[in-house]
Amino acid sequence: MAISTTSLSRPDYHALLWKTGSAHLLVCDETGRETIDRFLASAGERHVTVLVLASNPGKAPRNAASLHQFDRAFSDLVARADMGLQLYACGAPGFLGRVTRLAREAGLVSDNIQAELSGVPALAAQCAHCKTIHDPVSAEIIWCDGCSHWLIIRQHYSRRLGACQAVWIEPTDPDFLRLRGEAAP
Amino acid sequence: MLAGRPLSLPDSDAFQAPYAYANSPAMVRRFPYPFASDTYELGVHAEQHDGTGETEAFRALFDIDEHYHQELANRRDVLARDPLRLQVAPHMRQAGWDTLELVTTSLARDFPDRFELTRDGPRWTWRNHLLDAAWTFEFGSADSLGCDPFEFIAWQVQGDLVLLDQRDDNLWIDGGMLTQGIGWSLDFSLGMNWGEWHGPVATPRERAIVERGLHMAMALTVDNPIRRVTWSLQATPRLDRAMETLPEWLPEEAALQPRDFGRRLFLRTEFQQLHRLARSNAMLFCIRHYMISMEQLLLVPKWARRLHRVLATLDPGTERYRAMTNRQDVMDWLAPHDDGAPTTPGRGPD
Repeated sequence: MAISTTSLSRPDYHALLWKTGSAHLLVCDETGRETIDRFLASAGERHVTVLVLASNPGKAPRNAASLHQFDRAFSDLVARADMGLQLYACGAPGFLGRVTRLAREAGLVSDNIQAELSGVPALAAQCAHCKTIHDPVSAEIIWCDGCSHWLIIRQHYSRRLGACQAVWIEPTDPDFLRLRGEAAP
Repeated sequence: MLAGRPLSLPDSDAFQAPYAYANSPAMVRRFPYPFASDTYELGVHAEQHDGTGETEAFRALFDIDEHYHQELANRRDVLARDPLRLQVAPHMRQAGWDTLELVTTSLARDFPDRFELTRDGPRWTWRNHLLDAAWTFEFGSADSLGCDPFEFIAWQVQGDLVLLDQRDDNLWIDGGMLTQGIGWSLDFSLGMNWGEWHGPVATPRERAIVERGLHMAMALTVDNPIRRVTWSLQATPRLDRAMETLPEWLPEEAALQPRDFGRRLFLRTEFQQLHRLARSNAMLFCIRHYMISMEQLLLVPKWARRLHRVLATLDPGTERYRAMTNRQDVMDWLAPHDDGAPTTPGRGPD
């Protein structure tokens, strides 16, 4: 028996586009800042709020916040917003997973959430066996220090965990050799 | 020890290596054989779960059989090793009470010699004679029950229970106790919607079935549950084939030799049910498992004959087909038991 690695649960990241809405919330981490600034420049007459998660709050601009403050500010903004709120997020995979989860918890529906990936196109992965989070992963086969197994990355993605699922693969598996291009050490 | 957890269970675990699982002859006759004809077509295959069916296993809403204590002991062991097999989101508390009500009333009705429910207004007394235990509590008060209502009752049935919330025109996995899953993880899937949960289902035809299943599920009303019987073959009677324990059970599959098929190869029926819950409007998804060795399958000649034909005509486009590496070996093993005679319609034994 073989475990399939493809899945449609992987999030749909794409370039941000203005959609019809009563209000527009733009959020980003440091890696998504440039994209959000560019996007903001095309806002026109729209009612826009911007929230930035800064990695260094001390030096950050006025609207930046630490992770905890960010979560609270973000959830408040979404919860207080009208039905027609559109969310635009840009950042690293972990950040996007986090804000989409918070947005949905605050009642925003998927149709009103857009996310654009910034920086390296790598996702986090969780070992299905010992639950170690590997972040980021850029190879399709990784070694898990948590449980000492080789893992293959499935495209199966959990927004709650912000991670793909990584599952055990034997070094004798044809996929192992194909994806690593070499035998196991 | 939480109040809802059964105390008097066997120490041994028949569903873990070295395995001590076997069916009595009566258990073989009540097996929910999954094939109604000699070919297996992909499909939703949903039917009313209305107390009717070809064998006894189809007839109770929540079926209880001779493996009750062994299954609960296995659940105890799996949960002790991996507590994340039980998770319920806080907003599913009411669905937990719905589940407790549906399961206790069904068990007391279907198995009155084994379970008893007495309701005096909000004051309920639940007696589980199989566990030699009784609880009196106020319905709706987790304090009086001593634990979460979902956890309390999920412990006392065979099979896994999963809670699905309905919102945003979708179903969301927001709770469950999963110690018998096949190739998936409750912890990883928690919080996913129907489409994400079935994300690994890849072919267009299978996607269409997933989509149809969602619409059928969302249209369900209270007291009109549906069931769906699906199947797999496996090299041991291990119940826990969750993604978490893949490195333990996958090598067992490769190690199985055709000469051992009689004792060690099992046809496993996954008996799924969906119930609409009355107060919360959530869904209860039940996944109950039955296993029968090839040797015991031969006791019902019709079933062995038919399995041979089903495997021979299986659609190569299905996930199930691709996952089976030893299909030809199994067909060869079954061939001498298929004399070409016609089989009677339906899933029941001759």
